[in-house]
Amino acid sequence: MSDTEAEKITEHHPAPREGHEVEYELLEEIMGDLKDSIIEEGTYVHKQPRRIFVQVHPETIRNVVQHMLDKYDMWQFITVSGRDLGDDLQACYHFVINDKKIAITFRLNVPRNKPEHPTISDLVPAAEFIENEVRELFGIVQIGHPNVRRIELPEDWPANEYPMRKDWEDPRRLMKKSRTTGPKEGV
Amino acid sequence: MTSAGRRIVIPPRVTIPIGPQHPALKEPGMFKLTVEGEHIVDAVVNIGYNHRSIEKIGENNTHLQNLYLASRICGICSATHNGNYAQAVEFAAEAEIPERAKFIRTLIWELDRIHSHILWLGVAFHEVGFDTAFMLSWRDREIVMDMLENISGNRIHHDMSTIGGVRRNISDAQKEQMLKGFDKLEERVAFYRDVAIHEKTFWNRVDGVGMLEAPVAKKTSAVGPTGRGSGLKVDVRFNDPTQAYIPMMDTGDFEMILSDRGDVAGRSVVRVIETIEAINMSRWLLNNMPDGPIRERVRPRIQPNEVLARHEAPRGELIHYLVTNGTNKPDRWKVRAPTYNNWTSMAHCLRGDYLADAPIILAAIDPCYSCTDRVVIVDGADEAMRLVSLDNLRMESNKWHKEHPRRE
Repeated sequence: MSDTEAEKITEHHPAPREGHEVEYELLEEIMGDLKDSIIEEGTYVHKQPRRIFVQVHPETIRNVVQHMLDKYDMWQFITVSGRDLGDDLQACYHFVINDKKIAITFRLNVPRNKPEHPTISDLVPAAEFIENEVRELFGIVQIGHPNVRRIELPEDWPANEYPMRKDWEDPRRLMKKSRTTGPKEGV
Repeated sequence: MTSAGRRIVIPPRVTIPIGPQHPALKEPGMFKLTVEGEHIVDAVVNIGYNHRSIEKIGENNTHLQNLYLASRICGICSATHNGNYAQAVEFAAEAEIPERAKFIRTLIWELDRIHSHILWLGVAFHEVGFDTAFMLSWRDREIVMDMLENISGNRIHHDMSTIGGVRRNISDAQKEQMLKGFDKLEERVAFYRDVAIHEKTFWNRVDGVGMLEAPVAKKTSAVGPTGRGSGLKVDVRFNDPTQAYIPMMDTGDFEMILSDRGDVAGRSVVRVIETIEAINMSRWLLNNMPDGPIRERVRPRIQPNEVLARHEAPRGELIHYLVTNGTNKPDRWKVRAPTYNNWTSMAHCLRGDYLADAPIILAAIDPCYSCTDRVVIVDGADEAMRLVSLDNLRMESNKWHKEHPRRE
């Protein structure tokens, strides 16, 4: 595979319907219930068994999580992965629906100049630590977080320095700048 | 004294910081316990004293380099990080690996679980002051450590998995040796199970201590033996099987170990019985291992993809979220180690218990440290150094003990 070819391929790999009936059924049910919250682009069933990715509007994340908690008893929270996409920052909320044994990820994109979205830590107490960590490392602010504090970085770390962003440069020059700057074209 | 003269004394609230460097925990973590007399009324967990920015370093490394970096995340569950990263890259590349490689990888994972659980049991015995059982159980842990060294060449950082398979094969002679070792190990672990359940020295210290009720465990998303000790069905080996767990679970011979006790005793029982189950699984893997190659070539450039790789580490569910971008380096690599999810429930476990029980409650989610087998002996007279291998050291120590019988 050459470089130019690789750039055109999207990182989303939707699965064929056969063999993934349960996942498709669940995804269609969710999309029917939460029509207004879900962005169709980026919402798909992954080729890997038992994986669903859902793209949501950032301001609706609380409704989505509350709905999933009520309807599917989605109590098992995994983690939040921050991502730097260039113009946008992304937070991926990974959950597992334990009864159906399906891992489901809710992704939300927030603009880089105003990276804010509502917190879910009061709905899912397990998210308290990791939301703080994402705020520290990526600068994504969760509005209404019940317990804002430093988790990973030292206490004298300067403000507005978010080390996991791709454009962050180590002032001490000990660490190289990330050479992979955001996703490739067509993603 | 008359009852009118009696005064009720309310003990003052005192906040006791434990850590970051605490002798009982062997890893930096700070716990602020607020106590009223002997009772813990509030607990705050502070982590992040050991932030090494491995995810950031990983973005500059190739996938192959990251494999070895991943195994250095943790000294105890190095095989799980290493293997889970390898399977994440394979999922992203949509590469199929040979059957034999899957079996060897799963075998290493299970051996890792056995040694980690026996290690935890020893630590738990130590934390409650039952040091005899601590030393005995760690002595018998050497059986599985020797097996791991025999297969992989290393006691701790096995690095067995590589992208597309495993790095070393298992010969028939090694297989026979291991099967023999499992018989001995099973007998010993069964003995420690009985010690843990019937020996009052241990049981009375953990019975009803550090309660984590099932609804709270659900709310705080407890994973691994912490969750299973509260009756939650959270075992990735059964819920989301990968590698050789798929044919293994198809046989239906294995069960998820659960306990609905919810206290430290429940977690201990889950771990000890799980060790016996892991021995049976390893035996099944050895006996059903197919022949064939152990490695498939995978191109270093991985197509753009996003993968959520799940694996059941000894301490619980381990997540590697990997985003690849068509180059040989990851775009984003997120690691969620199992302990991270168990911190949230820790504060609840500590509340309402005695201060003296704090070490065993903190240890009940399984602390983590690394050890080494080869020692450098420095001669004091001429400062000469010599490197001694494990076998020589063992022989020398046995000789020494024979020549120096126990002093009266």
